[in-house]
Amino acid sequence: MREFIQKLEAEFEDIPKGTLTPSTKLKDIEGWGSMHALIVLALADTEYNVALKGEELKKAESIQDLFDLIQQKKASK
Amino acid sequence: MGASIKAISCYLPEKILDNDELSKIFPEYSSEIIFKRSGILERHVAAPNEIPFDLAIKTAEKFFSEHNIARKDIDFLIFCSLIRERQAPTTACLLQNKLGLSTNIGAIDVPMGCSGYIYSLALAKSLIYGGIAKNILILAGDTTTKFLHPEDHTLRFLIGDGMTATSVQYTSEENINSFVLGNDGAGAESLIIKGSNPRETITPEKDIETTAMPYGKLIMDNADVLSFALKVVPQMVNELLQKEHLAMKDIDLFIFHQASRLVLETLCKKMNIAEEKFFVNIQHLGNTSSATIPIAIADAITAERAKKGDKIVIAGFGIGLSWGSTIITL
Repeated sequence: MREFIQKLEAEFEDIPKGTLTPSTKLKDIEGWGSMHALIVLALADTEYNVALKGEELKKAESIQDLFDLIQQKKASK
Repeated sequence: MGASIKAISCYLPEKILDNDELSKIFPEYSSEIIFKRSGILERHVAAPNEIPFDLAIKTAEKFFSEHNIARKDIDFLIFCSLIRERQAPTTACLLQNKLGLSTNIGAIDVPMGCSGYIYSLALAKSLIYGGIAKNILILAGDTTTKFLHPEDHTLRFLIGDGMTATSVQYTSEENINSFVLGNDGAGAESLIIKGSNPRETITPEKDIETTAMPYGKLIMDNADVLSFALKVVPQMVNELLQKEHLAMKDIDLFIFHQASRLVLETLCKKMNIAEEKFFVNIQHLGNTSSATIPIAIADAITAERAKKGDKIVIAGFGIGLSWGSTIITL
């Protein structure tokens, strides 16, 4: 999880480092938008070899949800 | 003997839309944020009355002045664009007359977007192999900005207009190699021109949009399109390399359709392509649909990123959903 957050923070140039926690709600992140969802999709593919769908991403509400979604997809491969 | 690309010319509309101007239209986004989000500094935008037909005339005239290829020798014309001059006659037929080409030629439209250049090359190669033509002119590009809703900031940050001319000829040595092509109409809704089908029910809301947007409105589901690109492009390139008995290390340069910075960066990372072998010029053009690949080939040669003898993988992917790639040897 820590590694996942570090990777997210490395990709999200406009979000200050150290502000994301597992319980952070995506809608509470300042400036969170569709661009960030796309970055998560790209990150899941290149770092975890998991192909996420846009609709799956839309259901995620928190950082934990994103992490779980990727883990779940990885396990079901 | 075979088919080869002999020359390329590019034309960009005069009007440049930079991030400062976009920021004035969308005050909630600063120039810096627009660049950060899109990776694009400026795009060329066609004039209100300018459509691909007009750009194609200018591009072809530029082509004939830049290269030692006579218009009387052109024996087939392919016009590749989503916007045609009208439903009929074909724009290629109208261009034959406007450009003063011989009447003894074949001329067809290829109404395709981001994968259209690859399909036009595949078609040109088949015409040569079929003994039908020896000196083909491909005019490929678009004015995609005509499809953009004025308030759609995401697409207005991304899209630019442009047109290109490519000569494909019958030559003693071949430089256009194998092709891999694919289509999946099940993904059509991910990237589509709404309001361009006369059977679509016109609701009052849609009526307002279609009245203001005579060519229809481009809708893009960014997440779907990104997933699509990440899935098909690596597969397609692998298949192409297998067909040609080549490995990734044998390729000197990868030129992909300049879809968006994020799509390009993610593909480069996923496919483990070294940055110096991966060509990106989207920052000064935006996504110019079927024009991105020929413009990038021309830019790579000018920037000395590609030289004679180099093997270049070119790959187009987008609206359809449709994709295609080939390897060219400079």
